[in-house]
Amino acid sequence: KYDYPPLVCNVSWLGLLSVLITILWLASSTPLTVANLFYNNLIIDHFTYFCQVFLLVSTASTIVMCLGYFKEESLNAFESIILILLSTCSMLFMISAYDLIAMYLAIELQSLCFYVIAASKRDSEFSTEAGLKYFILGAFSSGILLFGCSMIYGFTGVTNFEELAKIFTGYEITLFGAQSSGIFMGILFIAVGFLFKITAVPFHMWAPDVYEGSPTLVTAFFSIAPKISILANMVRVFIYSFYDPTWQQLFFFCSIASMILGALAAMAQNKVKRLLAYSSIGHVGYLFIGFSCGTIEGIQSLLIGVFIYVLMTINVFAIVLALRQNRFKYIADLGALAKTNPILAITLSITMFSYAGIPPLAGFCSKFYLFFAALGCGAYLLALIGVVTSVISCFYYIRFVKIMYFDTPKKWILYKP
Amino acid sequence: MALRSVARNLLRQGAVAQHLSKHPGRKTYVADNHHVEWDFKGQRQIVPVGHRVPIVAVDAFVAPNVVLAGAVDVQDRATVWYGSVLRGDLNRIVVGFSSSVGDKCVLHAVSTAPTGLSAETLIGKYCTIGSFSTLRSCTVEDEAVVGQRCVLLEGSLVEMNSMLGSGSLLPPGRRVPAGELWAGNPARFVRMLTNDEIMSIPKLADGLRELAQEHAQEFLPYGTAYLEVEKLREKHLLSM
Repeated sequence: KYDYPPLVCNVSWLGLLSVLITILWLASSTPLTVANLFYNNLIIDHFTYFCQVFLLVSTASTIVMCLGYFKEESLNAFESIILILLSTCSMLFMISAYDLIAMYLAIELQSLCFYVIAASKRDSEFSTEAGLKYFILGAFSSGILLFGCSMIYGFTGVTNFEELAKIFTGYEITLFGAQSSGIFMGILFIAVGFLFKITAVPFHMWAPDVYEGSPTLVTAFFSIAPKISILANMVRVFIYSFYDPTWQQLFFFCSIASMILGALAAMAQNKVKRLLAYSSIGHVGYLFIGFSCGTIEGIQSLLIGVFIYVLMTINVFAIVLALRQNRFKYIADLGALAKTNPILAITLSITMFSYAGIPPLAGFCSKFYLFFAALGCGAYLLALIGVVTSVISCFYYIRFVKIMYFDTPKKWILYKP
Repeated sequence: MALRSVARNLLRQGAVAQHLSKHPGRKTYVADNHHVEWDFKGQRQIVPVGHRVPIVAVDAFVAPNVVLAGAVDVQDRATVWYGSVLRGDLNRIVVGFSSSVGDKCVLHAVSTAPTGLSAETLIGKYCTIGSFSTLRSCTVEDEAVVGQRCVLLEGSLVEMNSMLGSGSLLPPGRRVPAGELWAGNPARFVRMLTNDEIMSIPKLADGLRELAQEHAQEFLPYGTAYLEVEKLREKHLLSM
């Protein structure tokens, strides 16, 4: 009847509208008290409020980014927008999850949506490969997480976070004793599953490939939205329920390793998306600085860091999506951007400086607060390694700027505005 | 009205056929009322030919009386000055980044090149094509200057950082090597360009670009001609 129109643009506008309506609805109903819904399965408090509004804002920005993308790619896949909305919904549940089962279900729903949209470009082998990798590793990590949950449940008989928090108050996990070793294993498995999901270092293997393979819009969504939701969930689990210094050592290690790998591996990258993947791994490391302190300042700085990281990433991916013509793949293709699109070049360099943590910008503030929190709780080694790796990562962020402003490349690429 | 005009047209065609059969080989001119001598729309600036649509970048300046026909690609910050004709109906014409095509230029493209070069008319970055030039399927590489009234015939190649003097003619398949000044008809080597001249070529292009910016500020994205057309229609009591 309508000659089979491509519904992508219409659906994405409608999706954007629905996300904005959801933002309004959430933001207008400010939580005055802590409310537990659905038999203590979900919780609404100020923390979830902030995280959810912020997540919706980031989703809206992703959808805004993709409006032009589908048209140019002539990718008629309106289901990807619907999947983005679905996964956003599941992430909202994830942020406010207050039960191991609710948490796991939300994570699983989100991951399933992500597997599909990672492989959404069916005619490109990169995308299918990315989808497959992501599917296998994501399923694996979900399995690990679920195993951890079952261990916890088996050794405590409780899945609710509040009950868990009651059980674990003053609970020193020692490796001696029959039941505590099981609990220790459970917490360890849950932590490993989470670290898989957030691409922290020992479990980051899939991230660069998936980020590079999947369509750029999807990459943007992967590197923006899940970070918020999973970090919120981790804060909920590990700060509230299992508040204990033992697992903090694990995050301590992950933080150091992520920072180092993110700084060193991104140096050797030539492709933009891979570089952004590694830089996001490094930023997860910086965020874990605040996480592994476990102090109030640490959590505050973590939230500030997530906020600023997400804004910067939205910025970078918007620029990358704007430059997506002519198979913009390598960093060297940025050459002469300062001549062809000076304002875009300035924007990109400001964003890169902000990533690197150059003082008058927001990225500096976030890193500064994180290191400050680390120093405040006595993690001097963490702060030291953070500063050193941030200086190292300055190198490749500034390489962008150098390429844009000082190189004359062989081939000039002109980008449509 | 319509019927009558159709009938008149048929009669006239019959008359023309009779006329031709009476006097074979003689050209006839019969006025028909389908040919208008004054088109109120003027000359369209962008004329698609078949599937080939001219592409003009957003920050390029193309003067209002330029005709872009066929596969013409005017890239970012390029300027095409008044009265030029860029006819890429047989092959592609590319006006590169920040280069300018002067007034009253004619840029053709032939379908097949006699030489091994591509038959596209390619103008690189930061080029300056002087006014009244004619370019047919030639390649002008980056930062070259072609003077006024030059004729570049098919398959000729002006390499980087080189200049063509005014009024020179580049015969088919001739190559102006990099960094040299050629002039004459047919063009001959005059001298090597000094480094200062080579460095000043992009500055020249930038200066022209800034001038074009001033021109471009005089134009709005939509003209107001349609208002005049509506007034005319009301005046002549034509139904919209």
